[in-house]
Amino acid sequence: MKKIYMIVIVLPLLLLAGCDALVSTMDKPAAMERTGTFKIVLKDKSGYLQKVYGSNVVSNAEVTLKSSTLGTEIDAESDSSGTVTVTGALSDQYLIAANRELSANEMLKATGTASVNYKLTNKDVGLITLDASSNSPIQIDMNAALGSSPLVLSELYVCGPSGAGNYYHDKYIEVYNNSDSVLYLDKILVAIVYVNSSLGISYVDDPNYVHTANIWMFPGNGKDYPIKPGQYVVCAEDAIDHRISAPNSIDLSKADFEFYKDDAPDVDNPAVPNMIKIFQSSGNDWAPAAEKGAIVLAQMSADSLISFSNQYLIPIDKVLDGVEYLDDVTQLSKKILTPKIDIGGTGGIQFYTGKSMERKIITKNGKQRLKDDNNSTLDFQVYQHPSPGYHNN
Amino acid sequence: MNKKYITFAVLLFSVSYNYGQQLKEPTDFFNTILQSRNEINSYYVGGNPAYLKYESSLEELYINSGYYNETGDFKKFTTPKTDRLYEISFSGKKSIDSQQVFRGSFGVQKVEYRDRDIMFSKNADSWNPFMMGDSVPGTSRFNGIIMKAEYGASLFNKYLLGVSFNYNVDDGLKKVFPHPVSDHRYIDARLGIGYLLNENLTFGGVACLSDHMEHIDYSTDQGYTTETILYKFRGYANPLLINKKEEARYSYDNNYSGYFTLSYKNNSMVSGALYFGGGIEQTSTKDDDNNPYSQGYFENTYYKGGVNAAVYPVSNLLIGLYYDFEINNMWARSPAYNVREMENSYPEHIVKIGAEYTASEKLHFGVEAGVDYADYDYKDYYSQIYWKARPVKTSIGAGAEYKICANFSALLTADYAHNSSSDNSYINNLQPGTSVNDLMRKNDILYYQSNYNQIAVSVVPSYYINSFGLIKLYVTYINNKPQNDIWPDGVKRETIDADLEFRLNVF
Repeated sequence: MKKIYMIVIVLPLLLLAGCDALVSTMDKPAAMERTGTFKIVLKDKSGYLQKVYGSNVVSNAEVTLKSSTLGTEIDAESDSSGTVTVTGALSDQYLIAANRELSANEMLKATGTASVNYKLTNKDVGLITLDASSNSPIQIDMNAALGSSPLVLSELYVCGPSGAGNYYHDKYIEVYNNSDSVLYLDKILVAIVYVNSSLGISYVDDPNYVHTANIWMFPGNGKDYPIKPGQYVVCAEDAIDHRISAPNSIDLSKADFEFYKDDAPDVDNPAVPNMIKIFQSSGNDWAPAAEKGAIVLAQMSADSLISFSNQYLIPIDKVLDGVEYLDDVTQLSKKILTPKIDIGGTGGIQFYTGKSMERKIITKNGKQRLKDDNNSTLDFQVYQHPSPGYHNN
Repeated sequence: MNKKYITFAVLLFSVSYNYGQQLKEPTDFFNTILQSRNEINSYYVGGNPAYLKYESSLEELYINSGYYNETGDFKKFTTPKTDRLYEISFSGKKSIDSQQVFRGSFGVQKVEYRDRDIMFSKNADSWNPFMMGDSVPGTSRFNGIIMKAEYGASLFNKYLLGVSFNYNVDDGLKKVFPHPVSDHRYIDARLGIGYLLNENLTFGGVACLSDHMEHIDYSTDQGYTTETILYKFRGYANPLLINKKEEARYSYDNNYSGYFTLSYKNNSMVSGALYFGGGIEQTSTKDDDNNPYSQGYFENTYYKGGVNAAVYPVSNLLIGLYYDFEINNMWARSPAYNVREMENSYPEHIVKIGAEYTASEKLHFGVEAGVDYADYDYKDYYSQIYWKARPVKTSIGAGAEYKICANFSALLTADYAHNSSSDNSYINNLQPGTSVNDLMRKNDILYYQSNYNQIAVSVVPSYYINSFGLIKLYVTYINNKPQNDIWPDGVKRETIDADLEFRLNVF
């Protein structure tokens, strides 16, 4: 009979050994999803509104919230007390873009100079949490900033075409002049942000520099390559008609620039000016990652780049624009580009689907602009087809 | 060591390395009469393994070949259009000595979910809102084995002790792109005790623990040229749609329960058994292989109980009474925030009364009537969808068993049931003014709010072969047909359930 007792004792141990994980008990939450009312309070930290109106309340600001999980967007405007009230929203992390234009008259009263293209924006906090179990209002500090960068990355097409196997040579980026003045691309740097996925290394938390192991530069000596207001410039991996090899692809033979790697068996279209390779540690061609990665434009002398291990460092304040794209856009925790440049992430595109990421068009002060709130989750849209040299809209 | 103990220990050890959900059993619509009349003890009423010696099977080797096919559009969204099962199992009971009995079984099972939309989570008919699938409809199959071992012993003439283990593993495959795979492991363990107060009355208790793991893997098919959209559900609407080819999901489910059992028998005139208890089920769902993050937590606290009794006012007449209830209180928690995603509380009560008359040694027949009542109150806070339903299912059935000759007998039963749901409601606060018909998963709600008729017919012929054993065939046909206008004309759900059983006198 003792053997029976032993069996009865041993059996539960065998059972426990077979269990993969014991589920931790949780208490039943008191709050219910989507039933909370969230309040976001906008405060001006620049002191401009205090000087002009005697209050740091930011009224009439345009606020956009985007759920990082569901992707749903909420547009709202702050009321006279600077408060934005949101009801029925899902508890989630939200990317927030809050902007209030500062008129020349307001700038005159605040600074003594009637400056234009200034705004109050949420430079420091771009990601907030709305939690239905919390009733506390969320304060967002607003700071004065210049309007958007005059030169922006307007489109990234990196996934490869559909229906052509593993063909990936038709990648390109597109640069756009988002200002009212002629700009020059000469010596502007194009860099792919460094990440080592297999080792889990990224420098997203570096407060001062963007790390890169892939830097190219626009040719020219100062004013050789102008870009007019509203002009798109296409920089192609290979400036050829890709439809010959991939019927669903595009004709890039008339691209404005080409990434030609002269130390590798790369394609060169002599009719298209070549980008200048500063440094590329590996690969036979310029080829940003297809599903997730980040690209920046920077304005600085290539000679001033700081060498670091097998990388180069670009000071964050030299970056004109940057865009990150993710395979799973709900996973912003896996970003590799500092939020100081891009707080969000566009993408959600798989290999060889022919899809492209393009900035949204907005109208500002009666003028057509590409959206640039340094939040590619909100600024970009995914389209079914690439649009080199023009906008899908 | 005694040889029988060695055999037992080897069996138990092998059980701990295998697994399964339950082996299929033939459909039986009756709870008080015919085959059910032998199941009035704490082994069946309360599932107490200490009462294994009262289990009704004989000390023979049972070889069962089972087939189950359920098909039709009268179903929930999460249910496949066709649910098919093939199974072969072997089971047997053996008295080790006058005090101990052992019963073991082993089965091989293949489950097919044909024409299933989106879902790849195997048990998507549960109330757990955290489910996963992809945009490609198609057939999934799950191949697995099931093992069960039960042991019961009498101690000091007054005490009973028993344990049982059920273990099931299977691997799943969606047969169409993106070819996700899955594996499941299910362990159910029970420890039961009993005390014989006197020769009529005995009471006991049973503690149950079950552990279930599901792992879904979307990484095996690297067909880059076709796009995959993953669906991650948290509620009836607003699934997370993710363009992604690689994903892993782990779902861990623990279920703890305990029951008090009691059974009574008085000179074959009255017998009865009851059980009462409760438990808690907890499920945690996580995604990602390398850096798992929560997709949600689900919990159900439940109470269950029931009575099964038989009275013989005269020797050839049985009056049976059956009552069973369960009260569920379930809720789910957001993966990242301390808020409720859903909540559902529903009671269910089943009452049946039957009578069986033994006309002669060759013929006995019976009738049974019953009512099944439930009251659903579902609140999907994530999707802001709230629905209610109060279905009442009334049934009446009759059956007869006739011994045609010394070796051949047949059981024939028929059952008719009507389900009528009242207090139906549907509110969608995110999309006011819309109806349930605008919801992709509308059938998950309509199914509970439907009026329908059910007809079931069973035939069970048995043939005894004196020196060999017995051959028994169970065949059941079930037809469920909705009556509401909310379902298209001609919609139904049909089931064929068949088992071929061989009993061999090999012990």
